Amino acid sequence: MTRLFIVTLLLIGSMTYAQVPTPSETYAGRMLIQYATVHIGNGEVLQNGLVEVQNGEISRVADASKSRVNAADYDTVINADGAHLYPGFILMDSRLGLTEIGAVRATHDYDETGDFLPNVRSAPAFNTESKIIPTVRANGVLMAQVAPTGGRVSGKAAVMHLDGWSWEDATILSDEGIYLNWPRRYRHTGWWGEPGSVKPNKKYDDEVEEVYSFFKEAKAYSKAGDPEEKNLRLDAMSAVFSGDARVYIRVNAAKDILDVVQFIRALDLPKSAVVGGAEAHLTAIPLKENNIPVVIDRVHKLPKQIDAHVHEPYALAGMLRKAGIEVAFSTSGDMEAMISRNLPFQVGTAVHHGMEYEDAIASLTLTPAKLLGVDSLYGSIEPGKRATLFLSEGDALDIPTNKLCFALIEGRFIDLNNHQKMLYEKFARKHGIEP
Amino acid sequence: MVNKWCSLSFQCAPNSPSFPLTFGDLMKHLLLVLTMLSLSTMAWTQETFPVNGVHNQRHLVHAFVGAKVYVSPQRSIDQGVLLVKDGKVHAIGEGLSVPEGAVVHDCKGRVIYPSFIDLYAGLNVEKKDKKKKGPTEKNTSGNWNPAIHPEFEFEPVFPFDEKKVDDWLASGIGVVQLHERDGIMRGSSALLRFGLHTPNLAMIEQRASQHFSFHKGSSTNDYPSSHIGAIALFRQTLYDAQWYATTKDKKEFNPSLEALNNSVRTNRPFLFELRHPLSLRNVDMIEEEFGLSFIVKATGKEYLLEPERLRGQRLIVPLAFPKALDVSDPYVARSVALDELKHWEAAPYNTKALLKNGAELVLTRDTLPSAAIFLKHLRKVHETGVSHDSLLAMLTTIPASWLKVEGITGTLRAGDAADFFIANEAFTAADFRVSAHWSNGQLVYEKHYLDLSMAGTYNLVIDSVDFTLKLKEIKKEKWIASAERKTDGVSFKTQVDMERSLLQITLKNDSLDALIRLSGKVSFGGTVWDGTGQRNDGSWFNWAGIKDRKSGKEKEAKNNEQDSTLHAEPSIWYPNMAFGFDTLPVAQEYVITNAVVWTCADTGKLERSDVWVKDGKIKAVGRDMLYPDGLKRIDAKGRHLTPGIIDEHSHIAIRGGVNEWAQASSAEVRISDAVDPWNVQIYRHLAGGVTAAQLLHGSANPIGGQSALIKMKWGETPDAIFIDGADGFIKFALGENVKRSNSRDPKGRFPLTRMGVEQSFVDAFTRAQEYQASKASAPEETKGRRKPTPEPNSTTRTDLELEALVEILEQERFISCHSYVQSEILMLMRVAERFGFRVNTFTHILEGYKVAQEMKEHGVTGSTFSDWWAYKFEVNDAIPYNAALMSKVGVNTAINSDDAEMGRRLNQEAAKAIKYGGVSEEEALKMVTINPAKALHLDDRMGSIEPGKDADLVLWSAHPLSVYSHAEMTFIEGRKFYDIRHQEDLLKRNAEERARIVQKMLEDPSKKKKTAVPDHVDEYHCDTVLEDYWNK
Repeated sequence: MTRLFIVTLLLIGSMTYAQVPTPSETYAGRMLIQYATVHIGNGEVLQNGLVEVQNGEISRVADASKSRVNAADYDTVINADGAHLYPGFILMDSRLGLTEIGAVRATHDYDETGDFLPNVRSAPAFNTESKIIPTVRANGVLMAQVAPTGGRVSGKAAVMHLDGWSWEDATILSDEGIYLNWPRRYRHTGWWGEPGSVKPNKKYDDEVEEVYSFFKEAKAYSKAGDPEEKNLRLDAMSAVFSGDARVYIRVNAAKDILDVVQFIRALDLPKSAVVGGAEAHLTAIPLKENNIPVVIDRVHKLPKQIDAHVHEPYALAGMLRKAGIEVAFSTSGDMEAMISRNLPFQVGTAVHHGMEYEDAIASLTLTPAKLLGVDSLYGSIEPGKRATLFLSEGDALDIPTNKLCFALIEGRFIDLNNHQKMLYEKFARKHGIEP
Repeated sequence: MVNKWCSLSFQCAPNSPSFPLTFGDLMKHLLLVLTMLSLSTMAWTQETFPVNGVHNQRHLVHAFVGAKVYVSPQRSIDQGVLLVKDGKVHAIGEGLSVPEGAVVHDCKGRVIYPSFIDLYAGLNVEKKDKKKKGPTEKNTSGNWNPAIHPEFEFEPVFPFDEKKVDDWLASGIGVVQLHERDGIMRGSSALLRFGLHTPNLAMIEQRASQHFSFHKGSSTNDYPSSHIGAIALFRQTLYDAQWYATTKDKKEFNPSLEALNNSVRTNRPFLFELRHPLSLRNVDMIEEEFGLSFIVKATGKEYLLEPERLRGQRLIVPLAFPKALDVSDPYVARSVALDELKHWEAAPYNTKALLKNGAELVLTRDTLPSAAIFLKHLRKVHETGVSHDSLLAMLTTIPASWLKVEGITGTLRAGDAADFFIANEAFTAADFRVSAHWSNGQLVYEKHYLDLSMAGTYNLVIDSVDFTLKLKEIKKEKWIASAERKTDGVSFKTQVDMERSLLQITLKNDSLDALIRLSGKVSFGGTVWDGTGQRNDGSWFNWAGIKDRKSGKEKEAKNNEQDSTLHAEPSIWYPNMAFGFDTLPVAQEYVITNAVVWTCADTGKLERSDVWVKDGKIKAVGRDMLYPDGLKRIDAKGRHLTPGIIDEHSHIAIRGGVNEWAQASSAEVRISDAVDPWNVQIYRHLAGGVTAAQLLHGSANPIGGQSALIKMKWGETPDAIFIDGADGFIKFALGENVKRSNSRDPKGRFPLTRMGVEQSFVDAFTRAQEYQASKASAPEETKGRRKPTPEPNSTTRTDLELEALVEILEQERFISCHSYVQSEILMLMRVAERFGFRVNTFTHILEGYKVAQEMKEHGVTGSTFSDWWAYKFEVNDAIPYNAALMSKVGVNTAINSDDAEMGRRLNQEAAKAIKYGGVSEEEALKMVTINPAKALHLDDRMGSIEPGKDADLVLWSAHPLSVYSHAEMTFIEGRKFYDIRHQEDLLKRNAEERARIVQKMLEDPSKKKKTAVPDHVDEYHCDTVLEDYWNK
């Protein structure tokens, strides 16, 4: 009836010697989590909160000091005094489940060959047995948008629980959005192993033209009614123009972002977002005027220009929020899948460099849920929403204090154990050290 | 007299050493002579050549009368008489009598200079010859590496492209040195005169100098694959040559080493091509190591180097200046690197700065495309304050003396070769033009220029009708002209062509269907024109014109203005880029008060304490100490003070690659040869509280290269950022990178398995032991001197790779080994134990937690990533608890970056040891301070806050292990190299400087501006392999 309950539950989990923890059943009883600092996810916080969970759903949220509860009414009561309760963090533009080992191509399922691939879907490639996923959710990241990266139009993204027996089981919303890699004015030649020089992309205009014509044709196709012959690519685009799918546009340089804004206006795209946005602070006004949100690709990176403020990437989120732009976060780039467990700390760094704390939590929860179109059920700790949340002993955005007591995904207590913890315990015992 | 063919190597170069010509040489020359015989259609007499026709020697005197003649930069004659006979200056002086029968050239008002000498003329004068083979194709080399071919001799293919040669002669340059710009040891050059079409007349000196660089050029051998490798190969070849010269039991004939030794023995000048100003340090080190002296072809950015480096250098300075960038787009303008902008402004001042710092200079046109640009840039340098005479010396006497041809060319004393040119004015004047160039006493270039003084208004009477014709300006040697009929003001399209003193004028008006064609001559200095014309019907008429004396002149002034884009002398920062210092910080005495002091020593974490800094060291740590009056205080209330962070594994601030990957062992390469103190990551690391780092070679081969240990002394010289007296370290590596498992093209380089990796080490140390023994048995006088010396051991060849390995065996150099899985970790410890030494550090060491006991027994440090994994197959079992477990077992444990981004927030990475494995916060901080200091044998000087240690300190805004904290100030040896408040000023200054220069670029009149691209810093990791480094 206390926290002890949780400890027992975790131990049971760790005794299952499977490589990847087994999904559990939805907690059937009535549960109360009280006295925690509850970060709602909408920018508000309850210093001494009370949260009731029933059948996988949040049924009540209140200020514990002003509410009266009878412990006997609950099957489980968790006294979380001093701890912090958060909605499950949501990671955007992720390769979780689509990749396992960076250097092993056989484990890569995110970069399809071809240029315009809107019909390519990420959800069916999502591997629930990924050994990386349990290490990520152990830090509070419980939902992810998984998205492909290849070609010009990469394909369709899906919103996934980071728990499940199969991709179908884990899927919250498939075909949620379409990813577009905007052409670049400047190309960094070489790759990270062999850096080359920067060169102007002479084909930039042509490449932009290709994007325009593809989208224009797709729009026409979507309005034309019954086609003579079904075209899977164009067909896959219709959700974009009906407003059922968001277009996520990966773009970083300021001038390229301006092109993207013009593109969004010209095509009259109902839902769109800039992803990456390294120089979005230089184009804040047009982004704000057109209500285009920015998914920041990663906070922990080096400034783009030599004479930029050393903390520029850390400060980007705060600058965009001050300009009134909606912000969510990704960790894409080098080693993106494994690094996604550092999402909370990256956002913590952004908080230190200008983001308001509860607003930062919103950028990890309700804001991405809205972008993904799943905010009616996810993204905040509010009555009626699914119980995807976690309790941390301390501030989840700082490294030493991010210690999960438990996490729920749709009311299921997920096993916080993982491959790495098991190895730790195995070898700690070998060395005679108490893990 | 003309040069004799045979004099090429013997008589013509009295100061140069004579060479024994081999039979092959003679055959080659003979063939050349035969070829020339069949081709030669020259009218000139050639003493050894038979003449087709009547004998044609003309021992005439040419007298050049009335010019200002520069005999040398020190001596000029105002109304000179220059007498030339048989290719030489016969006599020179004022008021000399012109001998009877001389050909007199009236040079009144003109200037005569000795031909300019260019020691680094671009190669584009040769006609494309597909049959001509380059040094690597020729494969004459006796060296295993095709980039080394000192035996290669440059052989010019005559005739040259006349148009191009004329353009060089028009720039005043008549004597050039040419060589094949290919390879590391490139062979010898030829010094020759331009404009003479056969080698026997043109050549001044074959094998004039030996040429070198650090760029491997067209060689297809994988080695070297980096800057550090090129230097190692350079040094090894010199050691090989020394050994070859003295060893008694040569087992091979090596033409490369023969040629190299020959050139050293005969004191042939050595000429080195620099492509990065910081490489000058590498050249200096080689000079010192081998007792050599190089003339250095500079890059034009040497003004950025420290004065001590420049003093006494002999530099060939290129006159190429960067073009203005197209910065019309503000987004583009903001993304260009500030140092690039600043260099654009500063480049013309390079010569002046180098002279001021005591370098001796000559100038080169190098690959500048036109005489006009060369002369324009020469004038710009003059405008910066370098005198005419000084520039003249750099173009004549100094290059002549460097190549030991003074007395042959470069001056116009009696007896010198008659290599000179005639110009209208001094070369520092805006409309300076070469009208004739004489080489070896023969006229090789003559040009009649349109005379700008003819510009003005002319009153013409054409077939009894009055016209006004205006000559406006000259563009591309054509007059821009207009004309109108006076009676009705009808204008005519006008074309005026001039050839010497003959005129041809066309006036055209399409609407009147009128076409008037005039032919005529000019006289009286161009002011009077007259001639005949033809009407449309074919009948003839007369015409005449006279210049309006008041017109003209004003156009010239305008032209001058357009030409000038020299800006005020810009300030130089340290380094000369964004965030550079105006003046370097100095060590001060002060006390940092009321901080939470994390000592990382036995004293632990001290609340509200003071740290007293004096003479770059920590003087005292404590509370309520008695301070002298006026001691500077830094109030740190509420803040945290820690030792500077030390990164055991970094690849920042290295240029030209971190991996010399082409061979399984590259123990001979030194990262210290490639440290770049001008890399912005140094500043960013300061901002992350990092004060010291080990810069490691990459992990592409089992035995990598030697490390550099640096402190982040931003703005300091390359020499000053190294940690004095630090032990030597070397990178080893294991696993997938070494096996080249993830390379796109492993090329079958051994090893490809972990089995082979073990054998690589066993083989290397076996050879090292044998080498050690062989050196020990050396003759008495060299015994014990295993270190490379200029006096080589006569029996054992000095091998730089084995030298480094022997240092490991003798525990004078220490291994930091990139490692992942437990099997290979155990393997290397066992190999080391077998050869009697210890591995110092396992870096990355991701499975260290599995073999922590064995590591502890071996006594090795584990320096690991905090939480990286899943990027390679071999990191499957990497766990973030690794640091905690190793540390708890008792292994000295550090957390490292291997990444420029992570390197600047190692405090956060250390915090992960708390989260994963429950290490205490003090122990966690030690993993990035005192523990890496121990691994680097620097813990007696840094890594903790204790009296007597270096004052390498970081003041944090809050708890140093929290994401809600940042470095406010970073001190190294008591000097404040970073202050976040100062950064705001620097950002403002950077922005102002950028805006100022961008404004100037926008105003720059040049039409074709260079496309701007965003700035870019190469980031290296362990795996970075620069397969395309040389193509950049």
